[in-house]
Amino acid sequence: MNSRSNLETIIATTDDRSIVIECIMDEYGTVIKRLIFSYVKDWDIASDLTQEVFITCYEKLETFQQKSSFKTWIYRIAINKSKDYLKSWSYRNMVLNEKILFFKKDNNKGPDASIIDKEFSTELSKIIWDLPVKYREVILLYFYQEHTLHEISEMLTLPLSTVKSRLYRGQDRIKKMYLFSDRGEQHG
Amino acid sequence: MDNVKKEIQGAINHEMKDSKSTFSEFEKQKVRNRINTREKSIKNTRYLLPKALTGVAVASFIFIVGGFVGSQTGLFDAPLGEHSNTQADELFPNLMVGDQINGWTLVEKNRFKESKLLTASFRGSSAVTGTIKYTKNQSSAYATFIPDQDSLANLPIDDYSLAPIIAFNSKDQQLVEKTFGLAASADIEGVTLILNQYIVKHKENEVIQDEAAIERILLPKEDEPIQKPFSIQKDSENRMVLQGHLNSIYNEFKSTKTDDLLAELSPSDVFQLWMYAEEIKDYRTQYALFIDDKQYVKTFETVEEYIDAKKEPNSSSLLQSVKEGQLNEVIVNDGTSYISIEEELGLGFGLSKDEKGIWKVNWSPIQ
Repeated sequence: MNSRSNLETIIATTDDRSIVIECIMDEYGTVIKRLIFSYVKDWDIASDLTQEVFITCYEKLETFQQKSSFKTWIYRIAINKSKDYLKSWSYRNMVLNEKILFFKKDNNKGPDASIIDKEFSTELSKIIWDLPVKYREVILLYFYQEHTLHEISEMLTLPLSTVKSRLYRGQDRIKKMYLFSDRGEQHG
Repeated sequence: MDNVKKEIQGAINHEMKDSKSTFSEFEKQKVRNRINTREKSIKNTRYLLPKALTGVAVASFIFIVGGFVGSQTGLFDAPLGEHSNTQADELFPNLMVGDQINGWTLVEKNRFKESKLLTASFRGSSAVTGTIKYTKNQSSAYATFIPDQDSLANLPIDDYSLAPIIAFNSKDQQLVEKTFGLAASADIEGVTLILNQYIVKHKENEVIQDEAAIERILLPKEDEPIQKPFSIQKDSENRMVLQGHLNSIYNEFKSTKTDDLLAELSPSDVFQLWMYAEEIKDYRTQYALFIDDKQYVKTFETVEEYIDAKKEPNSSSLLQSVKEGQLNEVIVNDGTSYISIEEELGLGFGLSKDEKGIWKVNWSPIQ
């Protein structure tokens, strides 16, 4: 199971980081941007943070030890950057202004405003995006990005048992809310 | 489980169809630019020099081989029709192969007998600013470039009376499309291209496009926000106070709630009024400092609701952070600003200009 991906081979054998970073951006650009969006819920912020991820990759490439897969490594960087962002902006916003939170119709200003204003395509997607981050990240990494529980455990630096329980609880919440909101009529 | 998976994937996939969900060439270019900027600031020449030499060697190799292959295969001239080695004296009659004009070196001249096309091919490297004209219809899409008058002297031309229209090969067409995310016809002004090949073309009684090869596209630099440090005044008990003019305005605004009083104030002034209101728990005045334009939705429609909410246990750490933190007024653009409270943590307090051009506090000020 130690077989290297093509990208890992390029990283291991190519000295020129500018070439390596091109390959990394080609392979991971969109998937990382979407991953970050799942945290920050704003495409413009996701764009900025994705660029930050690749710059960090470029600068820290020599520290990638190949102990874990490159995918796990870059995902961890992206997840950390997303959570740092949430801590510094959104989380503080929520803590300090939970009771005086206002939303602006112009969705250019804040990460949550944009997502709240947005018409979701389905009730289910709204429920997923409204989940607390700790459940949402596991749900999206597992069901949408199709990582294994083991990979998610490495990416989030969480015990496997915690990942499993969050996945279970996340699904449970979705099911309950989905049944309640979307199918309530059918169930009387 | 499979059903759950499919449903979740379906729902998320729909959200991810947003046109911004892909990491575009434009974003990649931003990363490259930022990496290049950082690299330049690194002083460790010992580390950089071998790579630079390698780069130069590779570039030289590509240049030489490219030039050789191009001239041997006629690739650069491929769309032009039958090739003839007959010298075209009519174009640049005084210029011989190897001679230079405006920093460009003449590589060859050609005359195409049947089409009566004259060409002169140059190599060099020059920054040219102008307008990209992108045309897209049902059957085709192509980009041309019209240099600004000021840039004409950077091209291998001797007649500046009329700017040439420059066409590109398909690879460069794609580069332009990707870089600017072009999907429909558009004009993009102020674009700077680094060109490294240029073919001047001339055909009797016909307007014909020149042709160039793009080495790279220089993206316009984003405007740097204007930053100005400031501090708040505190009394001996570490309570925030207002002084002088700002104190007078506060007192008048408190009694009249007239926005015009704030007309001359900067974002940092309005921020101080809002924070002072927090300090003295004057929530009516604080409420009046929020932006009130119609396009903003208030969570609390009335000041009473707001005051009720403020009565509930709420963290006062924001005011504490303001008292302890380093404050910077950052003007992002003409209508947007924020107060950077703790730069390292990214804590900011947002303000916007209202319809009358007065700085007011955003409804969700903490960012």
